[in-house]
Amino acid sequence: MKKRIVEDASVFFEVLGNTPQESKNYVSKSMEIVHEIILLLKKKDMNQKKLAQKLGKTEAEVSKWLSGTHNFTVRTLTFIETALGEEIIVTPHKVRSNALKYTTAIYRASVNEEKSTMHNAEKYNIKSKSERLELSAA
Amino acid sequence: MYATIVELGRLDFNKVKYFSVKIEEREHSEFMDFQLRMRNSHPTQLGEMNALIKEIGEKYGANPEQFRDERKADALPPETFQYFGHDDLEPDNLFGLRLYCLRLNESVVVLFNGDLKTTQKVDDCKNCKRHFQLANRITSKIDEAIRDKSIKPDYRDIIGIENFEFEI
Repeated sequence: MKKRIVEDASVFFEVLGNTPQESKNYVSKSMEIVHEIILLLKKKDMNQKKLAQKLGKTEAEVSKWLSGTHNFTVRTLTFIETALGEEIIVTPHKVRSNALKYTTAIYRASVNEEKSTMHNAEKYNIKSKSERLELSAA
Repeated sequence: MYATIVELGRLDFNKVKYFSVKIEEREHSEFMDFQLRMRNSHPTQLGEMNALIKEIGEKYGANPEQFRDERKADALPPETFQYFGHDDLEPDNLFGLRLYCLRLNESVVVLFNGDLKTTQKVDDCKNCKRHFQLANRITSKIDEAIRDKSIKPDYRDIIGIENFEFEI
């Protein structure tokens, strides 16, 4: 049996290393957006045909969009987001803002729980911390 | 002239392993010849092409939508791709770089050669015509070899390439 020929492809990586970061980000982001749309279609149990119908486009056009590297406009993305009822692109600001809302909600819930525990402790005349914790755990 | 399928060192990603074809008496495989010729004339577009190859290989796998049809063969980038960098020094840079290839399954792609496409129809393009024709000739040979079981595309591999040589 002959040996496999393996050719040195280091030039490929050299070229990639010399490519402007924005070009690499562009390719990566384009593919990421399409991947997100494909995942959302699966989540919503929709196919390209249904999405095309919702958007009033042809299936061929939607298929082209999902080729992996379409240069989407914000307008088109907004139409797709609306049709899918989900966000495709979320800015870091929005992520932070949502995280803050979530943290605040958890904090409020824990404060309310503590108040309620204290109230019960007073109501049932429970004095010690361990008794309060037992009540809270129950 | 005879040719063989060769592995491309380090172009073996999580989801796709890339191969090329080496024609006897030529110094490089078709894909490496493409890299070496384009790196000076169209470095940004070549960089984007390489980024695309890497993304497909690392994250997504070789899905049919990511390739354009070129008769029996395939090509990169897909139809809707618009190059971000234009390598503006080139006056007739209307259609961008084309790399002809053959997608055998989601994890195996054979990369051929290509060039800057300057006309709508490939048959009119002085740069791409010969690469397009060669890609289709090689594709026919590979298809034939798969049919007669000389080689077999597998998960991130092509079984039997050690003993496979074909005339083009």
